[in-house]
This record gives sequence, C-alpha cells and structure tokens, in this order.
Amino acid sequence: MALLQITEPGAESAPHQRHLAAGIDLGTTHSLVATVRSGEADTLPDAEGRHILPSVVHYAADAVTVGHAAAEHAADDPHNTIASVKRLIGRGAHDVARLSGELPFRLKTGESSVPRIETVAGDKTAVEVSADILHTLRQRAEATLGDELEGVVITVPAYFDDAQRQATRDAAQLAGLNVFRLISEPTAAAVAYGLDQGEESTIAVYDLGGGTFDISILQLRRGVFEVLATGGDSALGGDDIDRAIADWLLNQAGMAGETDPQRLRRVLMAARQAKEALTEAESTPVEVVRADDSTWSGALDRSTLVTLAQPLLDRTMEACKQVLADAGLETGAIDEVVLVGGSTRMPAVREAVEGFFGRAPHAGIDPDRVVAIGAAQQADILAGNKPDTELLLLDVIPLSLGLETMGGLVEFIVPRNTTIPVTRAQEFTTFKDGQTAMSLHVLQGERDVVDANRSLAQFTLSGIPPMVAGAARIRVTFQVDADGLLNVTAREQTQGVEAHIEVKPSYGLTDSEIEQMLRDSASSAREDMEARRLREQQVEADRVLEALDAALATDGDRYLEPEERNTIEHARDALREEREKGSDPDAIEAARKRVEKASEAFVARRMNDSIRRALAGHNVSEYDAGN
Amino acid sequence: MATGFQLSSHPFSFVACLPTGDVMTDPFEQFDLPVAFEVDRSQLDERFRRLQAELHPDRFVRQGDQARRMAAAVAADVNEAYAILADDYRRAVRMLERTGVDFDPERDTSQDIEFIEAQIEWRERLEEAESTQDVAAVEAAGVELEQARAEARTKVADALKDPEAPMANAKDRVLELRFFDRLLDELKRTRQSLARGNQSAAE
Repeated sequence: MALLQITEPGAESAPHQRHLAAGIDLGTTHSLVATVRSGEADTLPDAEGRHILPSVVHYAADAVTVGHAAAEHAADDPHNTIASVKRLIGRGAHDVARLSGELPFRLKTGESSVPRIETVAGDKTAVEVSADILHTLRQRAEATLGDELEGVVITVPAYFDDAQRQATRDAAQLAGLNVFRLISEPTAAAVAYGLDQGEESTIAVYDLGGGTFDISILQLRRGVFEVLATGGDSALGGDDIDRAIADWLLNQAGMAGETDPQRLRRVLMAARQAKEALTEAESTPVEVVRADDSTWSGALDRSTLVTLAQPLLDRTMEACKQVLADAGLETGAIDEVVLVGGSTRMPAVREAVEGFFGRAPHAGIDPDRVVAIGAAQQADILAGNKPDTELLLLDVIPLSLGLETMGGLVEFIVPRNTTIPVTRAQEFTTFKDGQTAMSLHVLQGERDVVDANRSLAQFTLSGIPPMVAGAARIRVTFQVDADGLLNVTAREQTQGVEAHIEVKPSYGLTDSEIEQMLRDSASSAREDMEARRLREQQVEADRVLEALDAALATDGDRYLEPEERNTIEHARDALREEREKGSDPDAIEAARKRVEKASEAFVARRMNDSIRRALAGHNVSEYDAGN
Repeated sequence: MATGFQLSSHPFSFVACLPTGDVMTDPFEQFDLPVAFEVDRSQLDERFRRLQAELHPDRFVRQGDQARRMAAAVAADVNEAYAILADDYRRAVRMLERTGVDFDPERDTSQDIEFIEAQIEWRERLEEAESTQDVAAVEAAGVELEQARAEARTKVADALKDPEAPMANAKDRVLELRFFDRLLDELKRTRQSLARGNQSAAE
C-alpha cells in the first residue's frame, strides 16, 4: 500500500493537485466503487474487468474472501457465506429475530444488543462484514488510482434511520475509509443525471434490484433535495422474475415437481440468461437438462416474459401508487423519472414505468452503476476538485426524532424533513418532588406512541438537585449532523448540573467495541494497528496544516494581530516538525490540538466574514437591481 | 444596512451559536432582514442559499475536524433561522417574543370565545367527513379551510403591523393561525388515508 508523500517543510501542495475521492454504492446484493477521472465519473472494475462486486463475504478459519469468489461458497458452505448483510446493519436482536428464518447463516442474539453471525472465523457483526466489503472496494480503488483515497461518499437507502446510518459509518471507519458524507441512493441517482442542476422539480426514482424494490419521491427546491416519501418491498426483485421463468421452464420441460437442488439451480441459471438475452432479442432459445439426462429445447419470447413478469410489475406499480398517495401527489406532478437497478434493463419494466408516470424515464446510464456514479461526482466536489462549482446537496432528516414523555407518548423534537444539520432544544421538567434523576428515551419514527417507533438510545441524567415537582428545568438538545447522525445532551438549567451524553444507538456498537474490532479484524491484521493510527494522525495533521497555511496566506494580515499570528505560527511549526518526524501519533495529535486551540478565534473570524460576504454580496446586487 | 455590520457582534458569531441553545438569537438580524411579518421570500431563499454555500460542513471536509464541527454549528443555526423566517406562525411568535410577550406553545390557546366556537365546528366537520369517507366533503372543507387560514394570516399581519408595538390581541391572532396550520396538516393526512383507502377498495 502506498504511503503518504512527505512534503518538504513549508512546501505548498501543487495548486491543481487532484484529491483522490470515490463514491461507493454499498448494496444489498452487490456493491460498486466509482471515481471521477478526466472529468468523467465511472465505476472501477476488478483485475478481471468486473465492475460489480457481489455483496458476499466468505469466512474460512484462516481467510476472508469477498465478492465472486465468496459467492461460490454459497452452496457448499452456507453457514460461513454471508450475503445480504445490509438487511441486518444497524438492526437490533429484536429486528433480526424476524429475519433469521429467511437467512441461511446462524445468528446469535444472546448477550449483546448487537446481533452476531456465527462463523468459523468467530462471531461477526453486520458492521464487520460490511467493512470487509468496503475494504475490498477501497483496495480496488487505491490499486487503480495508485494512491490512498482522501475520502469517500457512501450511499444509503433514503429510509435508513440513525442507527443504520451510524452502523454504515462505523463499517467505513473499520475499513479505514474517511467518509466525506453519506447521501441517499435516490439522491445519488438524480445527481448522476444532473437533475440537481434544475431549479425546481419533483423526481421519482424507481429502483428494482435483484432482491429489493424501492420507490422514492424526491423534491428539489432551492438547492435542497427533500425526500418526500419512500416505499417499496424489501422482498421483491429481479430474482422473482427469474423464479417465475424457471417455473415456466420446468412446466414446459415436464419437470414440475423437480426437487434436485443441482438441477433446479441450473434451470434458474438458464432462466436468468434467457431473461437477460431478451433485453436485446425478441426471442431466445433455452435448453434444460432433465433427470434422465435428456434435453428439452424450446424458446422464450418477450410476450411470454411479459406475462410471467406481470404480477411482479403490478406489485411495483401498487407501491408507486402508495408512495404517491403518501407524498400527496398525482402522477402528473412528477417531472422526472429515474431508473436504478439491473432489473430495470428489462424492456417490460421500462414500458410499465413509462405507462404509469406518463413520461419516458432517464435510462442513459447503466442502472447498476448509476448510484455509484452519482456518489463519485459528489465525492469529487467535496474533495475540492471543482472549486468553481456551486452545487451543494442539502439533505433532510428522513424520520422524526423525539423523546418519550409521560404515558408512553412521544414528544417530537426534530420533525421529519427538517433540513440538516440542525440543533433543536426543548425543556422538560420533573414530575415528582425531590426527583434527582431523569431517564431519557430517544426515539425515531412518526407515531405518537413509543412502542410504534424505533428506540435509538436510553440514558439517565442524574445529580438533579432535589426540588418540588415541575421546578427543575432540564434542557435536552438534539444535534443532527449533515449525515443525519444524532447527538443528544441534557442539562439541568436552574443549578447548572450538566450531563453530556454522546448517544450511541441502542443497536450500535460502542467505541471500545469498534476499537476491539479494529484490532481483531482481518483487514487490520494485514496492517499494523500503530502504523494505521500514525497514518490517520498524519493525514489529519496534513489537512489542518494545508488549510491553515492557505488561510494565513489570504486572511492572516486582515484578522490577526502580530502577536496572535506569532502564536499560531509557532504552534503550526511545532505541528509540522512533529509531522515530519512522523513517529509518534500521540505527539502529532497533541500538537494538532494545540494548533486548533491557537487558531480557534482566527477560524471563527474568517467564518463570520464569509457570512458577512454572503449577505453583503447580495445587498450590492439588490441595490443595483433596485435602482 | 450592510455597513452596520460589526464582526464581533455579528449574530452568527461563535459565542452566540455554540450549540448550547441558551442564547436567543434573532433570525431577522441573522439574515439581515428588517423585522416585519411580511418577508420577501425570494430574498430570504437567496440569502439562505448563499449562507449554506459558504458554511455547510461539506465545504470543510478537507479542513480538519475542528473547522467542520464549527461549520456544522453555524449551518445548523442558519437552518433554524431560515425555518423560523420561512414559517408564518414561527416568524410571528418570534416577533411577539422580541417585544417581551410570553409564549408557551404547549399551554396557550386563544381566549376569543367566538373563535373557540369556530374551532369546534371545524373539527366536527372534518371528523364527520372522515368517518363517512366522503372525499368530496373533505375536498370542499379543504378549500374553505385554506380561505379561513388566509383570513387568519391577514389578521396576524395587521396585528403585527408595528413590529415594536404589536396590538393587544396579537397573541390570540397568532394562536388562531396555528390552529388553521394544524388543521390543514390533519386534513393532509386525512386526504392521504382516504386516497389509500380508495386504492385498496379499487383492487
């Protein structure tokens, strides 16, 4: 793996140096990584030229394989071959208990709130399995680009709640990736088609994958992408069409009631190949081998395929109607339709979508890759490779956040569709005389009753001075960052007793658990832990040094007294020296913290000034326009 | 206006916007807009976009954690100020609070007897339309409700004509506006559930 380049002391990085960034579509059945090169975003293939990485991880006692090689073990070693792990990520024991019947691997939901999968390589959480997939994609990108990635944008389903987003971020951390931002899959698809360039539009994103169907209605308004409604079916996809064709083939070949798994799998393969062939052809020959080794030869044509696929297409259209009703819209209100997912290659799907929405869908980009491509474009912008672009993707929180109050009811603090980042506070009080502690239960969802929502975290604020009921004033602050991740703090106002609690979701992993995983994980066994920490500190130090040098060059004289500047430069030089030595991560971190402390006021003054410029710039043009 | 800016006292300065939520900031001042109930929406939107373009944490992903955290705090503040200014009810409440009117959204209700009676009538009407699944009645109520809401809004605008000295009945007028906003929200949900009901009935 390439090490970071050590720059000469005081040397500025080249002004047009490209910052390496990638977009990752971490999908249920397959994953992709894409990047922008020569102005074009595209997905990256592996050494064999395959772009799609099956989201499958196989654990052997001494080896981890990911992707195609792992998928080959599905039949002979199902317990150690983990597929569809996205269905588990950020989920608690209670959620996965319902799923466990459908999954081939063994789940342990005993002592920990985070369910674990039993494998010969030890118990694995969904975060670790996802990290192995991300690690493979990271290696692919870095091998292609020839250096380390500075950061990535990872896509998540629009409906992912706080726990699922947090778990996705944890997986990225475990895989050694710096996450610029999580964005929703339908938003990424819309970005890939450049729909964010428009002024105001309502966009439907129809995503039919192998095993899941999602329909999202987005609204772009004043630069804000808002998810109006999402729906779909988590157990509906192209695989169902394959099965319908396979059933038809078995009937045609007089093999109804066939039970041999080997033969059934071959028929299913033949069904899939026939379906894919019909994307181009009107009719395709099919052969099926019977139990007595005789061969049935026939043909499948498009009209038969449409008949077979119709029940499934009808179900997706029902979901589309439902989601439009949820958004309070008629089909005529949809300005743009975007197709995502390999199954939308089928002409029958395109025709059905066009018929339903009354307009031709965007389909120019490979529907398997479109999400990764949109993510790559956003990553390129965030990495600073397009300094002139104004594009900013503002997001909203997908589900309301609140607290449990008396009687099992929910008090909403941040309603759904609030633009993030956001900070909201609300005051609560005690209900008993002399009450000295208060239990806070954080929830996410839209229902008024606690049990119908998702429990994110529970914690206690203690040390409240005894007072009569209703006298204490407990201010609870919800902070949601740009990724939709939540932090909750509570503070008793009258006496100033404070309890800052970093809320980790009930179904999430604690920091120490993640640290332990970092030590244990197969991915980090290949890299020395200390070397990795050192590199992380070096990268962060470089970021701070580069940003500070640029800021001092442009604004140092304007905002700093000579003495202040001296202090900052002194701290900066110390950091640079520590960074050059490059041996002690703790020393680098300490030096960086000193720089940050010294330059805090400087950063604040510059930020205030950008506010002033943002407003003042407008005043000038207004003044011109008004005269 | 812009000439009146003092860096140290700018409303988004970090002392004020650190996320303790303790300091009551003035959204009008934050967006450099005159204190008035009627807000120029396109001007407000344009300023919001400019501010986010400068301050969204996405702009700071490569500048280290500290800068990113600070930007997130300010961007959250900008979002909140915008949400207040863009919403008739929340903007009116903030105008009243500026002049020292106490406002408890949980406990306060309009004291106007006539209005209380009107409220009861509206509720009964919607409940009946919903229970009989009468789409036409819901739609008709929706049209009238929009009109009533527009009238309530005009009354609020009148009561807040002088931002420094709102009329004595301003608080009741604002609470009435809130009633219509909430009822329209409920109506929207009713419409959705009726649309869903009709859909499954058609199957």
